[in-house]
Amino acid sequence: MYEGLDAQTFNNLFVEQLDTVDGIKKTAAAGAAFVRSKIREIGFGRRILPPESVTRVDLTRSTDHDTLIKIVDIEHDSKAMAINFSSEADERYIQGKRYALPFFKIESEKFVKSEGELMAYDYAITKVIEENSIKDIQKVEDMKFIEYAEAAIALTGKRLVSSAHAVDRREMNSLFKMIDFDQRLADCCLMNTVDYDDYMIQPATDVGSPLASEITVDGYKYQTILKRKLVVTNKHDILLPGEIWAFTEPAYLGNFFILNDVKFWIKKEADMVMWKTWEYIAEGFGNIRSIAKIELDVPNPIPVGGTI
Amino acid sequence: MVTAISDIRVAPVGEDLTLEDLSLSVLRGLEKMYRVDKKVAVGDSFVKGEWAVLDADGKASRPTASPVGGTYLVFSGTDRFDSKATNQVTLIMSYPVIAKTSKFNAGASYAVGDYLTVKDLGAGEAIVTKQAATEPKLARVIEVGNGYLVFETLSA
Repeated sequence: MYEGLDAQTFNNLFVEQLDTVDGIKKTAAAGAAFVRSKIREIGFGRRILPPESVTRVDLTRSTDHDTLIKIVDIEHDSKAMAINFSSEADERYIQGKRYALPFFKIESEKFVKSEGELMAYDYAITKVIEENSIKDIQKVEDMKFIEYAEAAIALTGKRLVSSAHAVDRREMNSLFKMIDFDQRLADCCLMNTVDYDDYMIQPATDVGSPLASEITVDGYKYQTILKRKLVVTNKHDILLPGEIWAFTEPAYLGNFFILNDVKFWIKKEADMVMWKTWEYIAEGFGNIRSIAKIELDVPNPIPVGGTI
Repeated sequence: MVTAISDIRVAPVGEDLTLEDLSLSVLRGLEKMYRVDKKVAVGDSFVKGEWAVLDADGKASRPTASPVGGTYLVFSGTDRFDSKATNQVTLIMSYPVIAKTSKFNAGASYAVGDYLTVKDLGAGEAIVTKQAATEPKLARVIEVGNGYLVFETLSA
């Protein structure tokens, strides 16, 4: 409806639209005449453990309070044994294990602006904030993702501390082996942009002359490292330089559920416009042995006196 | 809670759920053993792999410091919804069965052939420990594993 309009017109129409009976709805983009403050990424957790939509009927209530959980089964163990013709194997009374994923809400700030001031913007601020809010929400998902991963390795001990100052193939190999040794297969690695930059300066004696030459010109442009999917993030406040994670494929890792969908709410009260975004999610690692981490001694990339 | 999930099994999970549950596995006798429900004495509770004695009312109660012959392995305890509904635990009331369990007194050392009994050692224990002197022989060790015992139950 608003495609092709300039941002000021968009903002004016946006305010006017909110005055109509059926006008409270999402509006389309109308330009980007502004300077971005930082790169907001989509969630890395979603790239490692893709979310699955669920509805209320998939969930379980509590008798004690008004929150919801989803219960997920853990695969049952089994084994075989070598025995004599005249013997018989052990018996097993099957008793399953499950884990519960509690749902919680992630919500953006509630943004408030007067319609007069809203018209002073040269870009579609409401649209930009809405888009950014979704990425802000996904950043919180990522914070919980790493928090839960830390809890997992605290139990399993799959945390390797290395004195190396930069990541290379040997460090990645050590990381992957913590999972591969355990009858699992490391399928994915997560690192931040600082380590990704470091990975690209490996000498030709390590990675071979053709690749070193290629990286020098075009950077490391592959989606995998040592056959594992590569996920890179710039969220250094969640994932510090030198902290690199490995995960199995989702089926062996855990679950990420989204209840219904992300919700966007907007309201105009007199001349004040307000809006916010939220979602209900649950995430967790049912198989805590499917996670490993290596911590390198990477120096602060910004010189002394600077901050990240 | 409506679920039988303990806090440790709520994300973030505080337990390795892929590990074998060693609390009680019946390796032989599962098909023919007598699984009998008994009311639980007031204030008592049991988990799978513990043992129970019968009080004067025939209710399952925790063992005392004096072991007795009528002590039975708990097959399903009071930590379940069905037990909450029935106020009963399921006991194995026939012999022998061969069972594997991590629920034993780790303060003693064991060897194959040792006899086992069940008594309260001072902290409300309801698990097997090494049998001494004239105490009833409730089981006999047939394997000493890393963190578990395998024993055959006996008619004491």
